[in-house]
Amino acid sequence: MNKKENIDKWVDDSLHSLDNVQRANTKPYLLTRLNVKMQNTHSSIWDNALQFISKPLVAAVCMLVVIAVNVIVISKNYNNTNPTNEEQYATVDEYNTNITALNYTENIEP
Amino acid sequence: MNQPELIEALQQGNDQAFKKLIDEWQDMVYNTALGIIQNEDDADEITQEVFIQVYQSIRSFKGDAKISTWLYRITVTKALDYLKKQRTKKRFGFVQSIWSSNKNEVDEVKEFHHPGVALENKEMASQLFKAMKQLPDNQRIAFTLHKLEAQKYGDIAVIMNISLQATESLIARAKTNLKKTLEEYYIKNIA
Repeated sequence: MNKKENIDKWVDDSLHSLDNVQRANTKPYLLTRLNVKMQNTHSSIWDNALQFISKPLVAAVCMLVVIAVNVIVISKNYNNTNPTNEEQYATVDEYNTNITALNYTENIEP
Repeated sequence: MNQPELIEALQQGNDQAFKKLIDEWQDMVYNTALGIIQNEDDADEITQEVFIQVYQSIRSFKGDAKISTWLYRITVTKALDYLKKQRTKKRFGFVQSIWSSNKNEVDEVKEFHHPGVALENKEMASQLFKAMKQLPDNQRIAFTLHKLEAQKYGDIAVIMNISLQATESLIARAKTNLKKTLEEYYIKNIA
């Protein structure tokens, strides 16, 4: 048998080495281990939530969201604090704060 | 208890039915996971995860497929997730190894011996498993189901949700790739 035939035979034998293979068996007490795992899963929901929140990426995203919300709110408020001319006139009318009115108040004799 | 009765009992939260499910299919799930992952502890972990998922999602199971098919699908999905995580870990390990002096941890290939292989085939089977690790995921899964679980092409097609022709093609390509890898190995190491 030459070298090539040898290699072909090994390859063939390897490919057929799983013929008639028996099923592997699980380790014993799978059900018991499963029950323990499921109980642990139930009790650690809050732990998992805390772990999730404390992940650097999640924390960074949360911080960015908070900063973004702040920026949006501030920019909206900034726009609102520059009243239009109509709003200014309305305020002046309402409180009667124009100069004539002030002078009038000053000139009233006791 | 036949399959519809078992499913109904499981959906009602019957513990005995769950025990029966585990007794009947635990080895099938474990053997499939072991074939794909090639690590006994991790295969055991995946087996547990599969049954936990079954317990949690049995109410959504409509019974349109066989329980075994459903279990195979969950097992394959979990095993693939595991492989993805392992690859990410490996990549991260590689990056770490660039900075650290210990480079032996990367690309550590352990020999895997399946407990169900006959003694005289152990060495050959170990080489085959090593070659299987280099297959693309879908070829690896199709070949594992075919060889280790003795699933017919039609059943593999249903499990993998692909056509029969696609399954045949996957297994044929898997065999060609394995042959090539094994040839290279034997030329390099033995001849």
